[in-house]
Amino acid sequence: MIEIKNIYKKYGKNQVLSGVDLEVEPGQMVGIIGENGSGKSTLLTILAGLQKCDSGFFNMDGKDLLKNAKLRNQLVSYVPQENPLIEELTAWDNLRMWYPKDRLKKELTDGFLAMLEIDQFLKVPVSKMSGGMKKRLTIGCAINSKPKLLLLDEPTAALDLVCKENIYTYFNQFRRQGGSLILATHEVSEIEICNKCCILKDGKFSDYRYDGDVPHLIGRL
Amino acid sequence: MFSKYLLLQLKRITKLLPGILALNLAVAALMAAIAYGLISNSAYQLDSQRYRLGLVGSTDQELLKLGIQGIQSMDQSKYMIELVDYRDEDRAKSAMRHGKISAYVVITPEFLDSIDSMKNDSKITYYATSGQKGISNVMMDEVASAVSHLVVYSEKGICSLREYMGQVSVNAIFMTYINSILARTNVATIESLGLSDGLSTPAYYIIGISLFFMLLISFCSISFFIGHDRARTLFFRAKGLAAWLQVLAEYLAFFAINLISLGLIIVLVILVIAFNSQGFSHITGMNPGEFIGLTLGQSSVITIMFKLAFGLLPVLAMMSALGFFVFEAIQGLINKILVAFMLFIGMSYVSGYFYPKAFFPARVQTIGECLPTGVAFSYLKNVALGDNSDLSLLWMMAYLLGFLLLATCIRRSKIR
Repeated sequence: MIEIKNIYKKYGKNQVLSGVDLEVEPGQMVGIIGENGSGKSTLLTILAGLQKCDSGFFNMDGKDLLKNAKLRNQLVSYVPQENPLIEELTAWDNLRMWYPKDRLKKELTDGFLAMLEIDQFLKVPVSKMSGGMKKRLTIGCAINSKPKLLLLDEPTAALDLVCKENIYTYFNQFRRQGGSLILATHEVSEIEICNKCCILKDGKFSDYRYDGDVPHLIGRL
Repeated sequence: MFSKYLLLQLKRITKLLPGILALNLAVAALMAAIAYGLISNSAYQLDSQRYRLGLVGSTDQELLKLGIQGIQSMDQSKYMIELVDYRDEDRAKSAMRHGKISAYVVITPEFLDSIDSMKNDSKITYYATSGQKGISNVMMDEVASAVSHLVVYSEKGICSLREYMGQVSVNAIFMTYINSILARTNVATIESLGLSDGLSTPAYYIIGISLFFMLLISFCSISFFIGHDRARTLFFRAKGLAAWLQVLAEYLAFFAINLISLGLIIVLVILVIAFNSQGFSHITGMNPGEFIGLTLGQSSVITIMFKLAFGLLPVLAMMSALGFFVFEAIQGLINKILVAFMLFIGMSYVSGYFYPKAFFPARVQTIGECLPTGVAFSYLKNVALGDNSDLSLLWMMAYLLGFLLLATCIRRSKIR
C-alpha cells in the first residue's frame, strides 16, 4: 500500500500543493488530471525525490520514502515527459547503463524488456528512433530496479494511436505483476484506462470517476 | 553509478568525435593562417625591412641636415629607418593613416630658431598612430619614437658643443664628436621596450595564439551540449545520480574530447614543421629548433615536451571548465554560440592575447590579469620563462573548481 499524506509545497508566495492525500493499492493505476500549472508535475518530482516538499508523508508498506533516498530509488521510478535518453547511443548502450550484461540479455529474452519489444531496435541509435520506441526504451531503463511504483509524466503525449495502445498494454502488464502507476495526464485515453482518477485543483485532490463525459470533466478542472 | 555514467559519456564522445575534430581542424587552419600572417610580418624580418619615419617642416638648417644625413648614411640605424620628407603635416598624416609611415616628426620653426640660437629649450612633436594595432605596428611606433628622440637629443648635443667649440676654435674635435654620437649602435633593441611582458615576441605570439585556440577548442566541442535537456538530468537524478556527479562525469568527457582535439593539432603542427622546416625557416627567419628554443628557452627536446605537456594540460582543463560552465548556463544553441564567442573574444582581448596588455590602461590590465584567460597567460608565460614562483597554477585550479561548482549549482537549479 502506498500512502501520500498532507503534501505541501510552496514556490515563493505560490502555494502549489496544499495538503495532497492519496492512497494507491498494488496493481492500481492512478491518473492525476489538472490544468497546466496545477502542480501535477511538482507532485511527481517530489515523489521521485527530485525536490523536497515543505511537509508531508510518502510511505510504501510503512516505510517513509521521503527520508530514505536509497530505498526510494529502488522502489520508485520516474519517467519524465521528455526523452531522457542519450541520443547518440544505441538502445543497447542506453540499457547497459542500468542493467548488468547478463541480466540485460535475460530481460531482453523473457523479461519485461522482451514485453516492451526493445530487442527489435537494440542497435538503432536513439536519434533515429520513433517517439514510441523512445518511450518504450525510457520505460525499459526506468524499471531496471524492478520498482513497485512507476511515476509517469504525460507518458503518451505526442505519440500516435498505435504507440499509445502498445504503451497501455505494457502498463497493464506492469500492473498485473503487482506494480502501481501514477500518471500525470491530459489524455482522455489515459484517463479511461486508469482505475482511479484525481483532479488536482487549488493544490488539493478531489476524486473523480470518468464516465466519458468530456465537457463534464472540463467543467471540473 | 558514476563510473557507468562516465563510461556512457565517453562512449558518447566517440560518436561526436569526427564532427568535432573536423571543426577543430578548420579552426586550426584558420589560426595557422593568422599566425602565418603575424609571424611572417615585418616584425621578424628586421634585417630586410626598414621602418619609415616622416619628417614635416624645413630640414634645410645646416646642423639638422647634417644629423639627418648622418642617420641615413653613417649610422647603423640606416638599415632600419628610412626618413621621408613631407611638405606639410596633412600629407604626413594621410601617409600615416594609409600605413605608409609608422610615425612622423614635426620640426617646428621654434625648434629651428632654437638650434640657430644655440639653445636647448625647444621641443619637436612626435606623432604616432593610436588605437587598434598589431604587435608589429606597435614595435614600429616604438622604434620610430626611439629614433626621433635620438635625433632630437643628438641635435641638442651638437648645438651645445658647437657653441663651446666655436669659442675655443677646435673644429676637428667637434667633427670627431659628431662622428662618435652618430655611430649609435643597437638602436632597435625591441625586446627591451617591455612589449612582451618579459617574453620574446615570438613566444608572446605563440602563447597568445595557443591560448585563444584552446578557448576555441571548447567552442568547437559545442555539439557535446546539443540535446542535453532537462529530462535527462531529472531522470538520472531520480535514479540516484547526484547533480555534482553528473557534472563531474560530463566535464571529464568534455575535457577528454578537448584533449584529443588538442593532441591531434599538436601532432599535425609537429608533422608540418618536421616536413617543411625550410618553409618554416623562410617564414620565421629561424629553423624550427631555434624557434622552439626562443619560444621555450634553450632546452632539450624532452624538456620542451614536458614543458608543453605540463603547461598546456592545466590550461586546457581550466578552459574546458570555463566552456562547460558557459554552455551549461546558457540555454539554446544559438545563445550558447553567441554568448561563448563574444565572451571568449572579449576575455582574450582584455588579457592581451591579440595585443600586448602593457598598452592598456592600468585598471584594464589588472582586470585582464585577474580573468581566467589572464591567469592562464601568466601561467604559460612562467612555464616558458622557467619561473615556478608565482601562484597562477593555483589560481587556475581555483577557477576550474569554481566553474564546476557553478555548473553544479545551475544543474541543481534545473532539477528543481
